[in-house]
Amino acid sequence: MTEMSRLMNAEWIKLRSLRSSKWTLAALVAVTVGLGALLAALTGHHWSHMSATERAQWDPTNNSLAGAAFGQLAIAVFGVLAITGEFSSGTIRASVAAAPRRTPLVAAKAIVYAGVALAMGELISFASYFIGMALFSGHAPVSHLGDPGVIRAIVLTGGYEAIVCLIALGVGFTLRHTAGAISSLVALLIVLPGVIAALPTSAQNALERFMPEQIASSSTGAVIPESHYFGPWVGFGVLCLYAAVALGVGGWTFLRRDV
Amino acid sequence: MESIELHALTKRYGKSLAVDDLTVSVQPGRVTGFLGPNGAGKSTTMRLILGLDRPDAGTATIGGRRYRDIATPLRRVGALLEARALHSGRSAREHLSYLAASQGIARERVDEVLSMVGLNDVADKRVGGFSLGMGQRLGVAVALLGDPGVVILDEPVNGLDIDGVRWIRELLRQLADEGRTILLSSHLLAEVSVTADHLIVIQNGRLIADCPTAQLLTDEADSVLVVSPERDRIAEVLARAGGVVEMRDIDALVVSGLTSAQVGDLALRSKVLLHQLTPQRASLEDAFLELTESLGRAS
Repeated sequence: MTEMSRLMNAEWIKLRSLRSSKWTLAALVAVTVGLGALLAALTGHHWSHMSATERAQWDPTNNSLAGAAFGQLAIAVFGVLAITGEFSSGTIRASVAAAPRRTPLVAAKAIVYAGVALAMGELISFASYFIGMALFSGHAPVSHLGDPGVIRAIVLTGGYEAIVCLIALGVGFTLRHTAGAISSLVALLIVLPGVIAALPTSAQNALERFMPEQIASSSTGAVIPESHYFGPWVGFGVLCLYAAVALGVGGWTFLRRDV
Repeated sequence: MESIELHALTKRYGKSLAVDDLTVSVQPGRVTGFLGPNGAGKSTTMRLILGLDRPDAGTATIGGRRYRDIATPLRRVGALLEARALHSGRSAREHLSYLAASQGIARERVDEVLSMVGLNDVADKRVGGFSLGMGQRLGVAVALLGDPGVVILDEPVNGLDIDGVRWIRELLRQLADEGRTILLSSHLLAEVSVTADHLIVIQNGRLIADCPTAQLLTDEADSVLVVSPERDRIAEVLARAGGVVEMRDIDALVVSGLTSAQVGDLALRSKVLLHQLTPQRASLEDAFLELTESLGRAS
């Protein structure tokens, strides 16, 4: 076995053997699917009261996936704890003693945790879509998997969970402390978009497209293009860039510092 | 089997030197005690050997290679640094399992080391509920997981009961007799003197002594108890010969700087009657205190 496969196996055992992994993933499913379904039920019933312009913008696929905005915090906590739990307990020293070159350790952790986040993300994304369509049907127009852009929107929305997980891992590797890392992610994912929403419209239109969650909800997860936002693939590229930068900074910090 | 070689190893935390130009070799086939008061730099030195901390200067190698260049390091070097460095939510078996997986070590070995350290019965309990002693046993299990030729243990007897202490002594003796390299740190001198064949003593990150345990016991702070009806005369003779004399009872004194043989010769030559001539073997504790205190005064 290569070092990477051995370390991935070790990370998989670590992930499975902690309750926090199971709880955060359970929270991810409950919040994303649950709140997604609630929102879908509400927006579906609202259809009859919508104006013509609102109806023209009706994007059933995107509306069925709205729960992802709420689930992202669960996956952020999942990603953060994957590494800050090691620092707070001290197991990081055992892990580094087992993988002293460290880079393979970062890579193995990223692949395993982001892989699990991706699998869970796709699962709940497709589940949310089908639940959404079931709730809309009879009240509002629905979309079909074969329609252009629908599969892409669902798959990239699931992929957003893996992106958030990678960003969280990077922040965790950099800051090492659970509270600090989670606060930073809340600031990035929730507070910052709130601040931007309070800015004048021109600034808002210029900046909002760069916010991770706004990319997920208005670029990668949208079938009907929204003005002022990136197209789906540019948006996805920006998200990948964020993940790469976060993990790069985290890995670089981790390589240089004593543990 | 492989030795641990430290060459001019230096580690700085801010302005303070935790390890200061340390050059020393830890040989296979014996238990090497790594002694020093708390904060002397023992744990830091061990972290440097394991590549957890980066040295500011110098090198630490095992069998001629840096730790980070060893492919599956736990198969070559086993270490117990902090017994409590375990995630409280995992069981002992899970902890050992992921480390075994990371080195490609067979699952059966996990059960083997669990029974070796006597944790079979609690193998599937969360380690959060472990006592310090059980944590130490699990730490020893981690160190032995890869059947390594080099074993590094930082204060392994902390929190162990009498049986545990005896167990770890016998274990270390056995491992050394198998030809392995054993480095055992402690600030408890009495403990190490029983187990270690060789001692490395450091203080303030600097090497103070590197010698067989027996030599440290005899070299340092040796003194001789002399009982004589002519105490003041023999005191004068001994002082003239370079001995440091300390008066005791009316007829007794303790002299250091001279061996009992030298004292006997001097007494005979100056025709002083002796009633008693007893070498006072300093305990390792005294020797150690003397070493570290004299160095403290010098610096």
